[in-house]
Amino acid sequence: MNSYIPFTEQMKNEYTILIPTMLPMHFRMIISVLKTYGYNIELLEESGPHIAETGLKYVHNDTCYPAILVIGQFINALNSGKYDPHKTALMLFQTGGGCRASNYISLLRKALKNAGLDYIPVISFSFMGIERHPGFKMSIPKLHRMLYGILYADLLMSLVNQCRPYEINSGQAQILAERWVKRLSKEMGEGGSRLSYRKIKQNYKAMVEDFAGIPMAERPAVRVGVVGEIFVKYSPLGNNNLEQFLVDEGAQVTVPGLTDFLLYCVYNNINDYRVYKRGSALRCAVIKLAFNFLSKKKNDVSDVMIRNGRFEPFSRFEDTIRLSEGYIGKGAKMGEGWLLTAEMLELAEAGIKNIVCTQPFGCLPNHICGKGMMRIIKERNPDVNIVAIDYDAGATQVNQINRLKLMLANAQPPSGVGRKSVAAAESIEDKQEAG
Amino acid sequence: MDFILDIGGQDIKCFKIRNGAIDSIMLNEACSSGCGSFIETFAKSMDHEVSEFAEKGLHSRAPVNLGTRCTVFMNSSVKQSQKDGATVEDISAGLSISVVKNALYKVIRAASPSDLGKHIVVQGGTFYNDAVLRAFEKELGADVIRPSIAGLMGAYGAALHSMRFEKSSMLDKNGLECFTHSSKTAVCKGCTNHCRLTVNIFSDGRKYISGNQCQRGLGIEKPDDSPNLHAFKRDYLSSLAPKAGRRGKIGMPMALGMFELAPLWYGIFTALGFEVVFSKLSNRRTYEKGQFTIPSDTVCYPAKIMHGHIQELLDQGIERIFYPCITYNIDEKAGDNHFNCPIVAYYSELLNSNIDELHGIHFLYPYININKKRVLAKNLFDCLKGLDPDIAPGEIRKAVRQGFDMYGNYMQSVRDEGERAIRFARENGRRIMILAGRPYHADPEIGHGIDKLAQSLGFVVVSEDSVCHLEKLKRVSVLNQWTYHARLYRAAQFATHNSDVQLVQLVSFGCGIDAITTDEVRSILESAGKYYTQIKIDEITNLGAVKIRLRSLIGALEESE
Repeated sequence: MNSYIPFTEQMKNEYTILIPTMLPMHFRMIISVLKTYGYNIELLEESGPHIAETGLKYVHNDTCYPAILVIGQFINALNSGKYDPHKTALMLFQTGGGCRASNYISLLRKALKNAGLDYIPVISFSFMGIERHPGFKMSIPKLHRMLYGILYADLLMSLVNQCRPYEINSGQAQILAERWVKRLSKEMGEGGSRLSYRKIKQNYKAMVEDFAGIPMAERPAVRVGVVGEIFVKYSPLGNNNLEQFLVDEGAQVTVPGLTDFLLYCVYNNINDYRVYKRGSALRCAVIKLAFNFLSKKKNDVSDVMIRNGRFEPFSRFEDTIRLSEGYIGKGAKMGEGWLLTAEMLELAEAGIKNIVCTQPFGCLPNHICGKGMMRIIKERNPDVNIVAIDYDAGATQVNQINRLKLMLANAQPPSGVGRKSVAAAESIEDKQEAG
Repeated sequence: MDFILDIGGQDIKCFKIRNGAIDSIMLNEACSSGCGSFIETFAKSMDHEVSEFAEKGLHSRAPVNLGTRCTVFMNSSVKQSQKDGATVEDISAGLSISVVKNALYKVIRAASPSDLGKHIVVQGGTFYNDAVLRAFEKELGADVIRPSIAGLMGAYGAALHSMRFEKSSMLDKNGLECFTHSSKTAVCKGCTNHCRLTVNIFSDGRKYISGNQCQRGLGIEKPDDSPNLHAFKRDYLSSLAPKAGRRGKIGMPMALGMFELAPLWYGIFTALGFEVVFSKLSNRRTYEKGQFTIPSDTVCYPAKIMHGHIQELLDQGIERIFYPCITYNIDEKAGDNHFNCPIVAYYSELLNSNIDELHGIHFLYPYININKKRVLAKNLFDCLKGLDPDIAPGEIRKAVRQGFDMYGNYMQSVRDEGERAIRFARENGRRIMILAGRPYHADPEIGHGIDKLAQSLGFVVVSEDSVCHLEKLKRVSVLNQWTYHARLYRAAQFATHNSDVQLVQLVSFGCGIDAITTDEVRSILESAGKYYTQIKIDEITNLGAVKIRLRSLIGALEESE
């Protein structure tokens, strides 16, 4: 790669770092962790059609849609006058690998050059640490903290999704989630060097209880799972507010959490050694430890949900791995790779038979792991109803909506009172008794 | 004059002018969303004359955003905006903006108006449309010059050009009155490709033949004996004949990654006593044979055609098929990493879940490491012991060494042939064309015979992997992490250092990775004042358009000489 402008120690004190939003709640928590380490960070949350329009000017139009959006968002922000370009740095999250998404950083630098802003440092945030930035170093404590931010957000996302179609006061779950994000961000920001896992687990419990207290009605809802390329799967900007659309159509949406993607990335490193003998045995052993640690942390959240009993817990990642067997090899690790296939199967196993598989138009790994696997999944699970939706700047929303509506029309009607609705009904009774 | 943009005649042509000569040419891809007839069709479908429709567009207050995808998508966008209450004015303006954006951001790839220079001329029939003109000026933020004869500029140019010739071959009045024309179709029997020819016969007995991929179709008997690396590779791959062995037949599809690694697998499996049967190089029938099991319609043609190769092997009754999953391609120490693209790497996974017949046979697609012989031997052992419990690790290790010898020899022969081609061209005063893409673009169906076409236009054709060794690795401004693509950058560098070498990049529709490589190859070439020519190919053959493109390249080269 080209020489790049490092983010120096001095910049750390003077610069504002801009980060594009992928998952609103997750990223807000990650940022509040980073802020405690002295960074001035701002999340770019602007959306609208002009983002893609700017992106199209600066990025090859056949590049994947997330790159167009993210770069569009950056350039728009830099041109907005809100930030001093000479005191601003940009940060992008990278996983690396054989997918073209690994090129986002160089595409961004090219775009900056074209926009006459090539003096702006770009920090690639990667667990693999491809580049060196003296002012931004990854450390175990930092990562450790961020992990809890992600777990909190995964839990909140799951709870909100499980409440939304049933809540009596529309929007209540979201408001509650916002309140928790604020509270947790503050708490993580104040944590200093201390990190109490006991406190974190107490938070999980309190969150679950809080959401269980939301008054919910008994009403049938079609269950729809969303999987896909990580950006368009999560980002409302990338998927034209897919979740909102599904909720408005009366569906209960399930989106597998970000922790699973982290586990997938870590797991692939173990597999790289197992299959290809890449890296040393020692490195592999260390990674295995990290994997087990991460897996346990995820299961701890699940356990809290199980103990409370009102909500469906996360699936266990070991099960996710197991489910993909016989469908796709775990060596398929570009993009979302085998995880995407596994998530479709995981949803089907959990009784969520309607699945939206999202990807940017022309997403190479998804030809294989998404669209390429649908036939065999449907063949072996005849009640599964999958639709693939492509997103890009030229795609029309009406096409996407038509496909989604067709999928919903094909969906098995929700069976009168679902598991969730029972829980919801009980929760209302509880309230009435209490009142 | 700094820039000429010509929209009309079903395509978009852009010329950058420097010092009075054409500096670079950009043509649109095979897409119709950029042309005037597209606006005309819409105008008619809304019951308006095109001129009146354009006039309305000028008065739009809020032009609709229709994107820049193909007409099919645009149709639904227009319907959606009509449903949303957009007026004819807004739609007309929106369409004009789409045409302009397509030209600016897809064809010209300009980030700012200053890229185009100060003095910009727009021409072509489409620019009779005032709304298009205005949209262009607004998008660019600059005024441009539109000649009053915008639609006739090309015709005037042709007339001026013909004035340089002494004698006109135009028919006289008499000749025109007696003019007749008939056409018939024929199948060329020059080679196994069997091109469908259209033979036009004129009243004076002259013929014009089209549809041919090489000169043989024109009835020119003596085939061109100049080196052609694509033909060289095809000949080599076709020469890998099955050798009967004690372990029986194993089939391998001659598609995607197999195009380069065939000698490796042939060497290994032949040494192990397997009879290696490759599917044949593709033709149109190959694609049609496998068409029904393709799950993703937007994947590249080289991947789609893979289904036909598998089907061909199955139809032969072969009960073992091998196409491994290879995340990491051969490490040529020429980039930041050495991946395969996701399609080449994992296509077997897709084949397995979409072709039922594969479940009835042994379809072998192990994940393997081809960069460590020992690990590869282990990977293969794990995979093959199911076929033959007697197979021994030592036997495989030996076979792997033999396979690599064969692969190494093949790659060396490609490089030698590349050097021979360059010497040949220089001795005979011919231009050299690097017809650059991926190894599988040498396939006669995927490459559509563009190599032969280039040859017939006087080029000596080499491939990117036959010349990239002549160039040292330089840093590029993108993440250089794919083995095949790293060769492109070095080949482009080679072109910049040799004035008699041109590079034409073959790009498959739907190749996401080429969205990255094309910009980089282009900037390498243009940094040295070279023309960049890109040809996008898919299952539709349109050699006519390719010919125009290569001829404009030759024209520009001659002009600048």
